Amino acid sequence: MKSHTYAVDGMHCRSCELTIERKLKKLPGVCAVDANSPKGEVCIDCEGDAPSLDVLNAALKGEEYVLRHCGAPSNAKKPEFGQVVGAFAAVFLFGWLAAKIGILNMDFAVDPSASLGAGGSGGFWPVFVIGLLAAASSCIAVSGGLLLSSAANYNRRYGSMDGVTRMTPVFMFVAGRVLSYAFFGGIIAALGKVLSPSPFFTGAIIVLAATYMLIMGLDMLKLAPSWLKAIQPRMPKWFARRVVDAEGREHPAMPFTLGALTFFIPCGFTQALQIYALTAGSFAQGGLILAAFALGTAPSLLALGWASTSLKGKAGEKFFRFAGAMVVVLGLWNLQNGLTSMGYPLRLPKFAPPPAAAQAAEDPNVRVVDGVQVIRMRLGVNPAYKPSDTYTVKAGMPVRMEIEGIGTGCRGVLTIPKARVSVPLNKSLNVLVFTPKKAGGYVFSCSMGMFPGLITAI
Amino acid sequence: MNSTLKITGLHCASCKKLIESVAADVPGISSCSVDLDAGRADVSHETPEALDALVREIAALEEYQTEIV
Repeated sequence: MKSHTYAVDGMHCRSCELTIERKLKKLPGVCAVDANSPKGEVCIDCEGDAPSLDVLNAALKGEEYVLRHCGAPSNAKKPEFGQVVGAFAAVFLFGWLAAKIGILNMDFAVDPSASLGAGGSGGFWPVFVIGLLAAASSCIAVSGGLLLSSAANYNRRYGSMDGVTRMTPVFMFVAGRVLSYAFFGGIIAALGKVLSPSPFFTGAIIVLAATYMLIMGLDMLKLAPSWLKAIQPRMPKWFARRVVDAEGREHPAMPFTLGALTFFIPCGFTQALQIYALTAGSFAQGGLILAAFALGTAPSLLALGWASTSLKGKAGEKFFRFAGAMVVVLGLWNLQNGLTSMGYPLRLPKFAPPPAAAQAAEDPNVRVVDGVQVIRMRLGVNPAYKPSDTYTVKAGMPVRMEIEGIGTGCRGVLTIPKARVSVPLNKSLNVLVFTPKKAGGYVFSCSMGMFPGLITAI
Repeated sequence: MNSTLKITGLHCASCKKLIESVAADVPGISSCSVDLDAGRADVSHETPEALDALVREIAALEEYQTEIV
């Protein structure tokens, strides 16, 4: 008996495997068939020679599956080049418009500490409103991207179910988010300690999320090669089994887990509220505060999820291509942000190579006062820092950054990962002192790696 | 005669196709139409035994639970 393995296009679930196995088993000479949907492969054991590919495909006629030799190019339907370009163009147009209108204005005029008052009586509703506003800002860029990609993944499997079922992953995601915020908010209040993992760790989380988004985005555009899908993070089987519902659906807990993990995305709003939860005093109060925030972000997320699941036909196809392109762009952007948080930013074109020493020594924006190099800058919208977002200093000499302006919302904290220092931007003048021990680039940014600027030490 | 089966575990269009194709192979089943959203199948069959055979075949897939309504 011989085993033959073929690649299969078009499988997406266990029922597909069973259909293929049943059909192929009927062929003369075939003893056993084992189809594997995640791998996109079918293994056929047969007596004597294997039936030819034409015979195998004829047996599957009328189904949406196509067998081919392993390694042979796939005939699966790919979108046309123009459609992909169009989708990306639409995303950039949308982003440009949003920026014009000010939706993505990162310097969002919401300051949790201000609206709550210093240690004030911030109850459920004020924080809920902050959540509503945060959801319209850059916070949605990560959470929304994750939500879209996990909903897409789920809907391909269960696409023909009714509306409520298709919304399941969206509800799971939001529920996971609210519960995890409540739980960790409570823990923060009970321990009296902020759960703020190192920038490297949070950066790593962002990079992981970005990778997931990139793969899913390409998948939504039907551009992902199968090897890429194989490395896509999956729920461990033992865990999935434990949480699988009675109907035997696969991985309904994946959106839940993703939603829960958004707590650790170091968004400025979340961080500000985490600090606020410290003052709450009890587990219940701290939990309530962060749950209120997560609930406030829920309407936007639910609306996004609804749009992604309820559009069908041509409009749905267009929306999915748009969403796919959006998820890819957000993925790339988050990848850059995550790497910046980890202290390894990709070289941006705007960060030109360090100027020559003679020139640099005369950086007009750096004053030397009592042996300390003083950089005084102001927070702005565009550019993010005035007078400049690049400075040149001497290595080995302390640098005192004086930052004017309260960093609201997403920009609550300024951090220099490489120097392991950060400062909350909550006063009209915030000071950060560090010494660049070695020559090189020191990137500063908000804690999510957005708004990067560069200090070059020479 | 006509009967209705309640099927749990249906989750996609492939499930519908799978069960309909299983039914087509069971002798004595003249037609079977699966309603995915409702989780049921309308079956016309010649004998009560044919319906039992279909239920056994579906059970053999080890994916679904069926119940004669």
